[in-house]
Amino acid sequence: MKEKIIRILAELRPEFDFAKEDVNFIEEGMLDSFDVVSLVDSLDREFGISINGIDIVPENFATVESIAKLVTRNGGK
Amino acid sequence: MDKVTSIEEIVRRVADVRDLHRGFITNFFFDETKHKRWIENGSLFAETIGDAYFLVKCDENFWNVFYTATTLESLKSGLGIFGARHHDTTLMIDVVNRKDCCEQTAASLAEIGFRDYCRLVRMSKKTTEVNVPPSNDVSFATRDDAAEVLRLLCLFFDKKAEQIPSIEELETMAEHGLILVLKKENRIAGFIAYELTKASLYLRYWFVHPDFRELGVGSKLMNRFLYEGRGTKRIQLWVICSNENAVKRYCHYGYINENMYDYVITNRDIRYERKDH
Repeated sequence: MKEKIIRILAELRPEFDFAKEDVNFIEEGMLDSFDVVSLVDSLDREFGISINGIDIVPENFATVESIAKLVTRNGGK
Repeated sequence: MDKVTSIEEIVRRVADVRDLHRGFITNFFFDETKHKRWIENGSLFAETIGDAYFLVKCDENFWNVFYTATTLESLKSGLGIFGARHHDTTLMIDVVNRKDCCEQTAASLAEIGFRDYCRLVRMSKKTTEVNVPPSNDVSFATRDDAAEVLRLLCLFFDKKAEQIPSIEELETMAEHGLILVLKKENRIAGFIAYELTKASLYLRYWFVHPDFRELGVGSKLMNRFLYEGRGTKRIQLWVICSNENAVKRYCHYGYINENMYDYVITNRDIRYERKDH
């Protein structure tokens, strides 16, 4: 799952290395609110899910780990 | 419409639409600082029609409408009702998405009377090393410069298309060193206003007054801007598509089109007219 998430992130923002685990993508400015909306759409399609509205908060998009937990919590595998 | 009283209310209402699990389209991109300011100054209102939730930022002469809806059909239906209720008001809507999605949404909303006002595209580039030392002619704007920057923005930019910041926002930007100015003859000859978030730079406005063109003001500002953004990895900006000179200039500087567009549409028979900047 993490590889798929990193691929989606890389397609969205090819200039950044999302495989690095020690940064917060939101705080670093690697993802902005436009990107989060696009990312939710991509995650929905890639994993066949519909992420709950209450889950669309910045902290759930801060790292690959938090995005993976978000996808799992919403039924993605 | 109801006045919005808290950020939590917006988050909850947007989540409610999403939780219908019938799809999700929006032009509302959350910015806590900016939206809190709108709530505090009492200019943000909301209305729910069917599956669509509308947030409305009331400006002096027009309203910016932000939507969150399940499908294009539910948006079209809700906006049709909203537009009829507020037919005496100029409504401006930014449809932000990939080009094909913008085309589809704009075409659908044209059926209920919304027409093109103008189109913007997001461009970006990787930040490059700055080899030229920045000019000493360029300085950080002070809080006192904010009013003049706002006056120039209102005079030379389009309020309906270019999201002119409030005086409070400009004063805050000045306090945080996010406005660069070059002064000549005790006047602001040009300025750059930007946002900086560790890895990303966002160029919001780059302006040279017509009285000071062809004097290198713009390039001095740009060099200083790049210097201030050293250490970032990416620079982005929005530019009006019909402003071919600006698009060419940015291409020349290495910016590429991101396929992220903003189709500005309106319920009025008005079109963007380029101002000289």
